Amino acid sequence: MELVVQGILLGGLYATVALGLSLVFGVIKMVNLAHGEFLVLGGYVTSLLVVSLGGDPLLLAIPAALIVGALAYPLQRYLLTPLMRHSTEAPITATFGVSVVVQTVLLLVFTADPRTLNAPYAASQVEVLGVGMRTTLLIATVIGVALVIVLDLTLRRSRFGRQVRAAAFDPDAAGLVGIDLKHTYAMVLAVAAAVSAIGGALIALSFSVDPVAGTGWLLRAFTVVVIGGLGSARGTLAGGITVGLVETIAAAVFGAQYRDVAVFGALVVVLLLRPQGLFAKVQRA
Amino acid sequence: MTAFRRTVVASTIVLALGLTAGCSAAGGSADDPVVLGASLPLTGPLQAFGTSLEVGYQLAVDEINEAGGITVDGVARELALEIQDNASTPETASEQARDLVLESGAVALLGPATPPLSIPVSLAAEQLKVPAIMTITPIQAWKGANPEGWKYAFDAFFDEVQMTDTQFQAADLVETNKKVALFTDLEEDGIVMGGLWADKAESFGYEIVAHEEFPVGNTNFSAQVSEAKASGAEVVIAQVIPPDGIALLREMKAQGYQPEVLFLEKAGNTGGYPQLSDGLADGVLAANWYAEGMGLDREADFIADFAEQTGGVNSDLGTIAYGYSIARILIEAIESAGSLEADAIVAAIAATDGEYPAGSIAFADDHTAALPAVQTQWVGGDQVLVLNAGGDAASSIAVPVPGLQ
Repeated sequence: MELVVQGILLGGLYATVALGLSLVFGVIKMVNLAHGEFLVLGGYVTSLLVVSLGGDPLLLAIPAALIVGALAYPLQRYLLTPLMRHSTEAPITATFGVSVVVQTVLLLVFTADPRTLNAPYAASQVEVLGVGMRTTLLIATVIGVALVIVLDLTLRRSRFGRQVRAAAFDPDAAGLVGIDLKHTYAMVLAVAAAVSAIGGALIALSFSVDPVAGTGWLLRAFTVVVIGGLGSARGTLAGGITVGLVETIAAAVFGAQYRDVAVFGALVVVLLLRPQGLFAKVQRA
Repeated sequence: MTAFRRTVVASTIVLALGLTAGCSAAGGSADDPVVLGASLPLTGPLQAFGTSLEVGYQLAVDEINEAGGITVDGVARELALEIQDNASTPETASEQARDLVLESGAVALLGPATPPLSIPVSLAAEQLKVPAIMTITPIQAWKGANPEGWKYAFDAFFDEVQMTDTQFQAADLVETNKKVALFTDLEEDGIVMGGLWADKAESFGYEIVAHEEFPVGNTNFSAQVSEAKASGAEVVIAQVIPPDGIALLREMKAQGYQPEVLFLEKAGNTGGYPQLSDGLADGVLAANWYAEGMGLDREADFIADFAEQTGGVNSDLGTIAYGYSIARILIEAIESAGSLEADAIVAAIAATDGEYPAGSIAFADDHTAALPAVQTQWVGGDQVLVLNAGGDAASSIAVPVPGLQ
């Protein structure tokens, strides 16, 4: 029981971490190789705000998310969207370049030392129904579920959501009916980056971030998104919980050294048997 | 003169100039400074080592130049230190080692720290037949990388076999139930040291009750900490990188696991680690190569000059002292050889026998100089000596781990 709870909570964090990647996949049809750096930037910007303003890191993660989102908007509008006209590979390559630049700048400015966000609940545990839970993972899961609901409702019910879905379904037709694709795509990357920044703050609260940590988290986010089903917020939540459970149970049963073997083994099996993702039905719903 | 002949003459002149430049590259003319090269990790995950080594190397070079330089072939010449940033990548370190010798004219190389970087640089030195001295590179790992034996490269640092005794020796200084939980990552030194601790525990009277292995970059330690806590281990020995160390400490704190002593090797040698971990690493122990009270040459001077820069007396300060020491050894060897001829310099390095800020250094036939590892405990910004080089108590150990209380 304890393992299952731990797996689900870890999965909640993974879902928050992967949500932005899934959104970009689903709408812009672009693999964002700088996704990990959005996460890491979220951790660093929140840390800077904590140092300069003082206050709770979770609250300061909100302005940090706005800052990271604001940085992502012009990146998509003036670099990635124009590149999409040339080929599908060009923007992906560009995001790789952005990833390297962000890593290098962070290394130069903050050094390679890991950085944590500190709060009274950062290294504490709460007990629910006799099961001990890391407080930060519980918070991450609550935030992850809330973000999935908000994103899902926004995409389904709001005018902006309808524009985004139209742009994702048929960009040419969406353009013909007056949807500003450049603005829509830029807003999607900005929202994805903002959500990722919150994920980064949760990582720094639960563990730590460092300038090169983004690569490992990108890999984890990819696994979650592919297992959950590309482009679906609810599928990402389900994927995150699946990965969290596989990881936690495999580590307990076989040893932590087999954690990655189990997770990426599961990824390969899913790709072979159900390449659209385990929760593709959820995606279409 | 036809166009063809003009081309031939011009090409010949260019080639001749190039050859002349090439000839003068290795050592240069008597008016040029003698160049020492170093490919250092000034950025990337190993940045702390690179920046500290740079300070040590530069200090040694500046001291010699202020004293009038070195005498080579009867002529006094200045030293120049040529440093390149390898960004903590082995391929770049290897390439830069070659560039430093072939392009910048370095007559010898100083090492970049850690086996993944020092071994490629040492291999380049062997290929180019130039002297090179490594440090901050455990000697068994370095020796094992060249079974045929090193001819031009040297290494001065601690021996992993002796270092893995110090955790048990230090644990003996406090009351514990002698049950040990090991946390070792799957990097090369995690595997090697994990094996050594597992093999040695019984001979020191300890029992390994849990051995948790995990990939580098692990964040989820919940099941492992639960198991270690349930096993009742009062001694925890971990070999982890700094971010994984923070994740481990946070999980231990969250689960209320408070062992009597906690050794956090590798991660615990990060300058300012208690601050980076929000105080959780306060009281954590780590094997070290430098601490106040070891009675090393110029110890007080180094602490006075660099403790503020390194944020306390810690292994970063030790890395400066080690960098300074191997640079001094190299410079003294060039001076002693009296020439820039590689074999003469290598012979002079091999004959080294003296006291340096890193300790007493004399190279064995296999080109290694084993310096003793000690144990230190984090107290504020300092790593305080608790177990000296002889394996005896130097000061009392605060138990249980203060940062986890």
